[in-house]
Amino acid sequence: MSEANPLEGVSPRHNFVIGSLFVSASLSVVASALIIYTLADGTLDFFSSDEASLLEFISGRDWVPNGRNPSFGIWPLLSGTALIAGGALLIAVPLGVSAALYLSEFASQRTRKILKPTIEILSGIPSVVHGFFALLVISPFIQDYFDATYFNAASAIIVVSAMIMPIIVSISDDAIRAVPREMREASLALGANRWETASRVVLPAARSGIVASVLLALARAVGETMAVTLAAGSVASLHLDPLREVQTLTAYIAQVATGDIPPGPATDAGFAVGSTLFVLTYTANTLAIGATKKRFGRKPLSIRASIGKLFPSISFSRSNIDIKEMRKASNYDPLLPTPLDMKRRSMEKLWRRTIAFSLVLGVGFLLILLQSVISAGAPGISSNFLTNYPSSRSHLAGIGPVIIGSVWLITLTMLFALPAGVGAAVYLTEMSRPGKINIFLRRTIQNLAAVPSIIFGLVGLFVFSRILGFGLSLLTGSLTLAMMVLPMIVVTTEEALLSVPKGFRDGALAVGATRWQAVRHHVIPNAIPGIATGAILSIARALGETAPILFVASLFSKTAPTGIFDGFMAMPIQIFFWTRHPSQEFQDLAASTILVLLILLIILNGIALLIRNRAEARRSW
Amino acid sequence: MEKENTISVSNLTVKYGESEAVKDISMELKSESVTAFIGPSGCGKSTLLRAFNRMNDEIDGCTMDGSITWMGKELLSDTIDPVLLRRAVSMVFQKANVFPISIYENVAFGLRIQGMTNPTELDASIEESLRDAALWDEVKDRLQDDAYSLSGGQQQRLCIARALAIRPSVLLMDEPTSALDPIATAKIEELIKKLKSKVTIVMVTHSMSQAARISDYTAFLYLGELIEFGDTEKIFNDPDEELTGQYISGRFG
Repeated sequence: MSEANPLEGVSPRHNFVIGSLFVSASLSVVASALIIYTLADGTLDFFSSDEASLLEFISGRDWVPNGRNPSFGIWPLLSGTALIAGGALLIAVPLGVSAALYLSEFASQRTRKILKPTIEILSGIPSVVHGFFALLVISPFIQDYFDATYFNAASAIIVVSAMIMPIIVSISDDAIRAVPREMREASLALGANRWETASRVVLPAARSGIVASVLLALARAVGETMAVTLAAGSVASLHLDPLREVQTLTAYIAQVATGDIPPGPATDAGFAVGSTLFVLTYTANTLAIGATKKRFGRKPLSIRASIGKLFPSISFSRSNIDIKEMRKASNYDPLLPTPLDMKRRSMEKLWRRTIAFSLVLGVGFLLILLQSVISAGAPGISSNFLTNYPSSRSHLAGIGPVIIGSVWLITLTMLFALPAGVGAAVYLTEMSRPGKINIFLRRTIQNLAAVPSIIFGLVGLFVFSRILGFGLSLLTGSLTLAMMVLPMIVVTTEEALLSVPKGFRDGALAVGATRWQAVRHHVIPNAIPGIATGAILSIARALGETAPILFVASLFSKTAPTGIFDGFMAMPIQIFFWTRHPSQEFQDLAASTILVLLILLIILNGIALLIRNRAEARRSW
Repeated sequence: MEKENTISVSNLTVKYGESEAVKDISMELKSESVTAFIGPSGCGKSTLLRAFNRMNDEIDGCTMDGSITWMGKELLSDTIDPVLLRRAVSMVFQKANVFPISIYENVAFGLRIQGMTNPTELDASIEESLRDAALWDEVKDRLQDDAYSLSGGQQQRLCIARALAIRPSVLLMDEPTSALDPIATAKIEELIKKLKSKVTIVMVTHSMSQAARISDYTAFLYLGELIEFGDTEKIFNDPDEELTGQYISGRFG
């Protein structure tokens, strides 16, 4: 018997597996194409009607979609969006950056260990819940003290700033922690104190990451729908008064979604508004990606230095200390504080307290809001409430079918999104070669993640419901949500895969495994806890999401769905409608529903945390 | 005056949590000289160096016992502000850690913090420090360039200039040439020899030949303990301890 030549023959090609993984990775391209197709088609429809013209749209100062003489000028919606996003950034950027600086530079390990997850959990509060806070907790307060109208921009600004602050904190914190430790040591060794080190060395070095966090927060604020729809109102007018009602781009689309706008050009206008919104958020996101690419930001000229350059005649006289002369003095003792040293100490103390306060303010504010919803909602929770249908008589109303609808919805969503997302991540990190295709797919996923959720709603309505004929069904709703959570699953799975040491792959390849065999047997099993954590957080996200399914949920349905083509209701949508209800009893029902939703979210986050901690404890590498 | 500026270490123990990195060390460091700490990795020489300007305070869980006195003061006492101490006892690190700002601003950093605002005086101090660090001729025409545009050796000399600018009495150097090529290393060694007339230099080095070339005194540490300390000449030619001789002749470490 002759020996087989080990170098002859063909190893398994796994064409089918690799093909399926590639298809998964391409789904984000399909989703992006659907978004662009939907927006382009709807926008063209709108401009081809007699009532609309492109010139009016981009230059008009009136947005009156209804009535005999409709007028479609985008500026009132843009000013509303700018007012709310700008106002929210004005509050959230200083608070968020300060909080991040405090967390990374001054907080003790223990404080950090408690606060970082708290902030992450608070960032998971659904936007419809923030809408409840804005309309029913904050707005009454602003009406009383500042003579504002019932719907006003200010209350929306406050909750949107609370929503984007965690984004700024967490991305800025990452950027600040990425500044090498040696940089801090250099500064301290030169006699700078902690605050001088943080403000003059660390913060400028982390500048590009902080800019990226602000741009991402901007994209989020511009795309935010539910809180703004609930609190800011539905009158589009061109002004920047935070005490009055404004309508944003997103709120108009939501108004279309809830059926408050008659069919015809006014509804088609929603697509043109959607296109505008898409362009704005896409730009902010692209700029943010560009900013993160720079590792360290160059320090810009300080304001003082810039003024000095422009107007050399202006001098900023500050007392000058001649260090050389001082050192020469016979009685010089470097360890004795000078008046300047005393001033530096008190400045450090002052700033430390200030930035600690911004952290307390951000977290404390959200906790107060949560407390208000507990006191309003807790009394209403009973077994009847959990099983009855949403009756129009408040004392009989419950959320039985609504909970079942939500469970169906997220189950189907994950059924679609999880295999696709994990497959895409495996393809991108393990099976594909770096190159143009890989970069393109990654970029597509990054951009998909930044698309405002309400735009997914337009796609769901247009593509799944109308073109594919799935109607207002669970299938439409879950496909829409699946598109939205897909990027999140891809990103978390990639992180999990990348955390598996490279040596595992090399070890398997070195004993003759194919790439897929190495990944299948040695990488994926070790990445399972990370993938599961990401999946659970995606479920939490899908469970609280309102805007994308606003178009397709069936209000007033008394029964739970029994199949994928049935209509459905979901908890966040129910919260939205009860919050808008004028009577107190229904608003309390909204609070009770919020509590149920929040409890579910806390349980999901708890499970994710548990999996993560257990995996970390067990990991031997 | 001479006597007063001597740094006296007695019974110094430094712990990270429970583990002792420096064990009960006593020694006297003379001013206007170069002292080198040598020993195998993990022997505690960097930890010992970082005790002199209380950089160990910046590491969580690090505690120091014993005493270090300088100019009649107990440096480990709570009443000493490490921030003030570090302007007199400055430090240069293993990796050139320049700030991502201009060459000029790197050197100006410590001066501005100490309250020097007059542009003419700043310019003069910065030129002097860069000259002291033998970097002036190479950078005088591009002071506003990004410090990252310099080569590794130039960056390390910029770090030295930055530390010299605040006119410290003592300069600590933690393996300042370990990341540099031989030519850059030679330049920095030359510099250290010149600088000792201005500042007391205490350095950690991995290279025994470097210690032999430039230091006046050498301390050999092993597993956190000070095995032998004395004139460099003596340590390298006629050590008292067998262990020192073995390490220097390359039989371990």
